[in-house]
Amino acid sequence: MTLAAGITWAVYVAHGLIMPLLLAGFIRAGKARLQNRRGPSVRQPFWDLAKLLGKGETISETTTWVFRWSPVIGTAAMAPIALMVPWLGVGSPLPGDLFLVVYLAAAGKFASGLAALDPGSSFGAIGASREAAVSVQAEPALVIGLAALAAHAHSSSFQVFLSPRQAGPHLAVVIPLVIVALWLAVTADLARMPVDDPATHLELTMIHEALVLENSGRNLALVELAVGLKTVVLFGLVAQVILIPWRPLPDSWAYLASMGLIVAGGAVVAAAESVLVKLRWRRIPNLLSFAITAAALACLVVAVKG
Amino acid sequence: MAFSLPSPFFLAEVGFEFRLDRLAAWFLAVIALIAIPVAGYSPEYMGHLAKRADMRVFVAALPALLLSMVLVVLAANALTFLVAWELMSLSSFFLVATDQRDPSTRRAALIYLSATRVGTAFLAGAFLWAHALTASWTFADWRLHGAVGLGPGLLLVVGLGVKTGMWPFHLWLPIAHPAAPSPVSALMSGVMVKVAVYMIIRLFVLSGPALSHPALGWIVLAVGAVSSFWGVLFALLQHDLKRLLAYHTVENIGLILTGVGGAMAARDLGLATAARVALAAALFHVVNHAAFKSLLFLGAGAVDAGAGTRDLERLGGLGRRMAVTFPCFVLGSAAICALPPLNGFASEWLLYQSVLGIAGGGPSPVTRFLAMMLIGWIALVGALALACFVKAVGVAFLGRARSENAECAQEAPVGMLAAQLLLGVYCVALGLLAPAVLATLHPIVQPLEPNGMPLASVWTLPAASVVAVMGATAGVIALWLRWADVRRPARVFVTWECGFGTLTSRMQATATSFAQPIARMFGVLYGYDVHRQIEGEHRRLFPEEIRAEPKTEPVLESRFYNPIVLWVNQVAEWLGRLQAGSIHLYLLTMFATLLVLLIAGAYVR
Amino acid sequence: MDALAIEPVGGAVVLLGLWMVGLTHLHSKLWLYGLQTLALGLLAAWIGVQHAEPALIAAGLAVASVKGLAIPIYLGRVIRRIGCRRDEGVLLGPPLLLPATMAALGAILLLRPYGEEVPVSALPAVGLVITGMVLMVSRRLAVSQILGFLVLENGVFVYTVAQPHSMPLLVELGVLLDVLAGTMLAGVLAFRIRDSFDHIDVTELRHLRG
Repeated sequence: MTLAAGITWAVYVAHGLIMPLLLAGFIRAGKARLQNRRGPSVRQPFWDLAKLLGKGETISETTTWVFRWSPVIGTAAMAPIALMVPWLGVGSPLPGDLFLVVYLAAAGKFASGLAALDPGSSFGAIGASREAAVSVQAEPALVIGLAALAAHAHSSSFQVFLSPRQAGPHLAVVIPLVIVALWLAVTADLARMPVDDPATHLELTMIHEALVLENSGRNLALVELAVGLKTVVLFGLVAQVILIPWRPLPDSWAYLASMGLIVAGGAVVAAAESVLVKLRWRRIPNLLSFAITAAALACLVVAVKG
Repeated sequence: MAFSLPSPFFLAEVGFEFRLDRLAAWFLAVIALIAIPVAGYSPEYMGHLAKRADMRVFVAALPALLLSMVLVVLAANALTFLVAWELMSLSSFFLVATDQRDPSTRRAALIYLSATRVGTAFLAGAFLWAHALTASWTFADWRLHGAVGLGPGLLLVVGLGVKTGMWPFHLWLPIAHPAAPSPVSALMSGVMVKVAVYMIIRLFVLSGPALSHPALGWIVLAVGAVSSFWGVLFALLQHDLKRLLAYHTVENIGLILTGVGGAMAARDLGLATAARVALAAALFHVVNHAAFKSLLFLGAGAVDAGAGTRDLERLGGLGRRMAVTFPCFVLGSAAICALPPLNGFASEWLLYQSVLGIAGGGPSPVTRFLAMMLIGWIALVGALALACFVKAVGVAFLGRARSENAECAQEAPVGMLAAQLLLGVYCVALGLLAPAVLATLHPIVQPLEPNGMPLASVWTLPAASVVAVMGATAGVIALWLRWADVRRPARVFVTWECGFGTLTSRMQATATSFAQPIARMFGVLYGYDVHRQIEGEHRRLFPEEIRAEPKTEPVLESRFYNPIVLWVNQVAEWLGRLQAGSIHLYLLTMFATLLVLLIAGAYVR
Repeated sequence: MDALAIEPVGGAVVLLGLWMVGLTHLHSKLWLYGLQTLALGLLAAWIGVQHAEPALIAAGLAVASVKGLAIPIYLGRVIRRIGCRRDEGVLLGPPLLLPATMAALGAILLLRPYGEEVPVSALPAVGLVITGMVLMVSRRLAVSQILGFLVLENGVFVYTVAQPHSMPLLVELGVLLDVLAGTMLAGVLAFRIRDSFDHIDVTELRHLRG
């Protein structure tokens, strides 16, 4: 392994361990500021993680090995994703492929869905079934949006389609549509406002929180880490799509721009969670249909303009 | 390699001719791979059924089915093919009807038989037409390209489509496959439907092709796409475990036909690489689906034998009672949901790559746009399949038992477990050794792109690195958890119930409730409605009893098939009057026909 | 020259129409309609400036102010007085309706059923007409159907603007006046329906008397 590859690995692994917690802390601090509170410091998630890791764990007696292994599988599925998507702007250590990443994320969803049904509680079941219903629309929106770019570049490898050779004027139409589709799909996937409120206390309104309700202690720490990593990687992916018209960029500029965009994404999320109201469950398909339509429109433009 | 039986064995004009080439060898390998675990599974499973069924029929029909499938794959001319095909249909009919005491099984077997009659009728019509055009019964002699190929081609698609369970001819599949004993279901779902796909590939894609028309590829592609969506959507609505798996067979056959249709369409558009990859994806998915669908059916059979019921609403908590069946079933579910690094992902990735090839390089904007929408369609099907299997595994194996049957469930005997483990090994091996499988497929799909690069070079995924990273991460975390558990063990307590007291098994999700949000989303397609009934004197404020039942209308059956069946029955009844038993009527009919033929003969002359 | 200006604005306007199909909130739909009409009116005026046709400038400005501002304000008052805020939709709800409409528009764009008779510059018009028809068919409140008709009328306007030879100002103003009168009448009718039936849900108005 060459020195450059080794440095890339080290950079990605280090950022993958630190960025999720920093971003979560930043979003929380941002929300607090917007709501006129002082709020916790940006480093709070680190201390929360340390606390969770040291805390005792309570496991339901109804569960099987699925419950204990699901956070492990979820994190193990997320780790290659973080190494394959070039979310830091520079090349990723492993050559990433769009469909591999999507299906690895699906593997994580499979594991967490089963873990929610394992304890035999009603909340887990509602959370799992709603999460499955949301992903029925969010996943195709994500895939179609990125497929527009992939078809344009004739390859499903991230390295290739996130820095297209021929940039035409029609990209000015395609990229915003893809960003709209991706942002809505990412919001749904990460269970953020207005699809799901991470701060709600009412179980019947939860989607993601109900899914992880039974987890505690170490399991919960793993789950939070996996979700945080997914957040950062998906924000980074959207950042890369935004940066497409300015490619090729020197590495340092790309890195700084990506970090800036990820932080900006966090700010948008913080604002959304302070200002927007969570949608009623029956209205969520309406919102996600916009994502699918925007993605399909992007495909239409790519198909017509060649 | 070709051979034919010597002279006493003759079928009207030609002899029995067989031919073994690479494509046939591939399908023979599929038959053999699945036959072994099914054979190991059957004795103990049928022991549980032996009290109700006639074992002699089963023992005779199962080898007959295997032999006939081999003969169908090897058949080199149309008549041999039809003989072997009929043998296959008859033996599978007897196998479906094994449990004869049950009226629903008898009905299912008769529905299956009538479906195969209809399919064979179309096939016979197509072969007769092709023979009239080419004066030969041998497949290799047929070269019907362009407009002449459309008629026989459509009849063949319908005839073979009935057997593969493609939409809209799939109605018999969810009725027949659950009614059969589980090893038979595994064989039928895993292998028999693939034999029909083999014929489609042989006649439409490779070696010639025998029949081709520009529209046929698009027709197969469209029908495959609709099948995959329809199958998985209806699978979500089922709560009978084997019916759910049968609908997933429809879905996966849809994916295979999408690959085959994509290969045909790409070949017609001149995109040789995409055509080759599409066919490779279809062939790979054939063996993958055989492996994981058989695994799932054998697991469902173990559940049926151990817990006495297949109804998801009465299962639950089997994960702790069936310690080996459970992980095998989870593995099979993960494979069918195309989760990396298992085999389902490998073939679906190839399918995506071929459609992406059409989306990028297609000649017209319409083609490119439709290909991109097809990518999204396959992703939608994948998301629905994931939801369906989380439901199936979660409701059947996890949580608490919902009935006494499930509480006293027994693990399956060793033979059944060994068969499932073997199929599990197939799934993992096919997934990890995907480049080797592609190298094996290379000579089979080569005719589509003679100067192409080796097929294994299409596989550009860093599979080894991903598996290594996943393994390393999982290993490190697992070790750390083990160490932490020793230091501070987890406390085992009840599931959190808001302080209301114990949770009963009725408070869990049922299969219907898990699927309800998605069922409602697509409710227009099948008239989804929930009938609610609330009882009680002051029921608006203090309901005493609430009954809620989701109702769906099987649109295809009630709007299309039932009227046709009704009409056929009416015509049959009317014609039945000719068989009234009156000798005068019979004589009159004979003389009238003679007269008509004489007059017609005079005119033709 | 015209095509260059029409294409992005026309495309954006059709996108706004498509957005309206996916919404259920009536006020939001009204805002989008206002934005759409303003854009079209200003586009017409700009084309008139390019070609030095005062008739077209006047028509464009008239459309922008009357249809783009006055009608949305009026309809907004009607909606507020009637008190309806959301319109759920009939037959297909927005989740399936929006992709279906997009598929129809995509099919028109890709397949070009009429070939050369429909020039590229008329495609936004066809798109708007289809969107307007979808809006009218898929909604249950009377006010939404007025909106659908107005979007349809926008499509007709785009078509006339896209023509190489200009439309006489008188015809254009006449059409505008017709639309204005029709909308005011429809608003009044909505009030009368509400007074007679206590709602303006047209799916309930299906029983023929006598």
